[in-house]
Amino acid sequence: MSKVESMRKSITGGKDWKSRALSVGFALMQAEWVAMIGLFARADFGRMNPEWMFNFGADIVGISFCCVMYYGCKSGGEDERLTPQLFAANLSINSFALFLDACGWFVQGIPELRVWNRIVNVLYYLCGLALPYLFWLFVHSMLRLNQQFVRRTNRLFQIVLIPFSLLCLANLFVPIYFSVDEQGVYRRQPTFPISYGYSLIMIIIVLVGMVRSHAPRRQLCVVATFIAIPALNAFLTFGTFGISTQYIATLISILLIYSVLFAEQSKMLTATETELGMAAAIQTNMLPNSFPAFPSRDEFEIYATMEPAKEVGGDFYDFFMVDEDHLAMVVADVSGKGVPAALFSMIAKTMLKMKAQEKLSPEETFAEVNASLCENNEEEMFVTVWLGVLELSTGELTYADAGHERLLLYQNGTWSVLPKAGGIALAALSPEELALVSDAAKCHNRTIRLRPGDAIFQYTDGVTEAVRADQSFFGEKRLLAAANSAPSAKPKELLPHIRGCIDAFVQGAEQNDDITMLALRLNAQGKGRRGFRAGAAKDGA
Amino acid sequence: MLNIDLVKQGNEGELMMVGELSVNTAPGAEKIMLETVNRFDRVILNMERLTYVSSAGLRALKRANIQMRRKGGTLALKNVTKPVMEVLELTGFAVLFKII
Repeated sequence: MSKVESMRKSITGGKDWKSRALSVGFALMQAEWVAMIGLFARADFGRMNPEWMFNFGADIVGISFCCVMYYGCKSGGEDERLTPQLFAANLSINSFALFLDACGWFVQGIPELRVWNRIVNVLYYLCGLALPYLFWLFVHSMLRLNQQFVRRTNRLFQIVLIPFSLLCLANLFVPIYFSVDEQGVYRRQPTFPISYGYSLIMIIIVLVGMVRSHAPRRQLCVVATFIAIPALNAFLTFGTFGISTQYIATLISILLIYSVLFAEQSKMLTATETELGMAAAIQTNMLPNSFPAFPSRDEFEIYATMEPAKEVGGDFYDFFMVDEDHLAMVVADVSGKGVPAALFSMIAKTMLKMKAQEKLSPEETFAEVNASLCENNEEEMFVTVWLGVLELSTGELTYADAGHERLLLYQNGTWSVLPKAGGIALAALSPEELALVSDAAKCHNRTIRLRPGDAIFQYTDGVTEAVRADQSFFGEKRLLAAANSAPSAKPKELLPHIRGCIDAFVQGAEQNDDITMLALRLNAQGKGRRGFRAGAAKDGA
Repeated sequence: MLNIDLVKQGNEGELMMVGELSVNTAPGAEKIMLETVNRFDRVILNMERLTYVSSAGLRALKRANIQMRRKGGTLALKNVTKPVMEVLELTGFAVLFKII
């Protein structure tokens, strides 16, 4: 019996433990904020010095800022340089320090809470150690420093962190930085300036980093403020006791960094959006989209729409005259979405048109296009296609489908679904692989004869897989019902009606796939001449 | 939402897929499938509780299958549900895989 090993992985559409950790951090920060308001409501202000109350207020405002920025970075994009986790950690520590600061003032001078006073202040000093380190981790990528320097400074930080952390923790038992007396009053000790040692080391490292950096000046300035603002604060409040604004000062620096990075990111986003918008316009213009498409021919009506779920889509339709008597129609769906799918769809569309115009049958067209698409298809994309060629003089429709949806046919006043017969998506199998597949599974030409008044409807899975909040699909049955409930089989009326039925079904749920529809109605069997009159059909019928 | 469990028995790995193989879950699923294909000579994708597969999901399956064929092993689909089988048949992908 062999060993059985188990492993579990969860994929929730991009949401991993990192984003969950971010959410937890956000919840904690909100809890801090609520707790602060609670403290604020219960505080005995009569007992407090005015400057304590000022600190208290500043801390609440500070945490509010942290919450807002945290939310911004949580919902922001995945910018490599922004490293949301690190930034969030910075904010978390900063807001926690503000929270501790408020707690510290709250317990100051209350004899029963003197143990808490001690714990709160030790934690407060620990935050003072963690924050510069986190800041450094965040800043060195921004300064674009070389890896060796970063590794060395990181190690230096880690080594320095150990004695200073121990010193901090020692304050729980021996007064080094501060003492809390019997009355619960916190006082600084003469040895307090030792705690500045760490900040000094950190400032030196950042300064050296800045000198060696090749980052743009604006980013250097931002980094400099992280030293300058707290240093200025320390200078101004040096030797005084009662105003604790150092974490408000660091928060201002974080805010600055955030604004600068946010501005850069949004600049890049705007550029991307503009390009995407242009791509979408190009794509729309590549599909025949002026209707009526053939004003001079009234023996048939054709109408088609494509609505991408993202800016650009992987779906496409096409129709064109192969010659005077033959109309070719294409509906296709490329695997995936967005720009890669859109590029592949343009290639497929061009190839299909080229081959169909050589008057190859749909089956032959598919074989040729499949072979071409398989060359250099490193991304393993594929496309499901329905291709039909209608002989207008006889109403004979020859079509083949490469893994596409079933065709809907309107005859004798009702819509029905035509059966499926084999067909493998294009670019799914190379010609050599295809040779091994059974004949029944391959794409084959099928022929039906349309009479005047008959119509066909072809679509992509965005229609049948339009999904409602309760996870149910629109489906083929509902599609058929929608088609049959349409006021007429005229394409221009049918398509909006079906679209309306889909909208009514999804009840406002977000569109998650491209929706493409194409309908054709034969008004009369013409002779394939221009200027053929619909009235003549009556004689012919 | 998609959960994937790997059960290993000797040189055969079975991936139990629970949920939907959609455009959102396909990249993650593909990574796991390729990792599994690289580790085992025979991989079974148990689709008993896979309720939906999109075209992006088919592509992930296809890539895993190609990788498997390159190294000369077998990739099989097991207990395929009706909605997934319909998609496999509609797109013609059913012929690509060994379905047990």
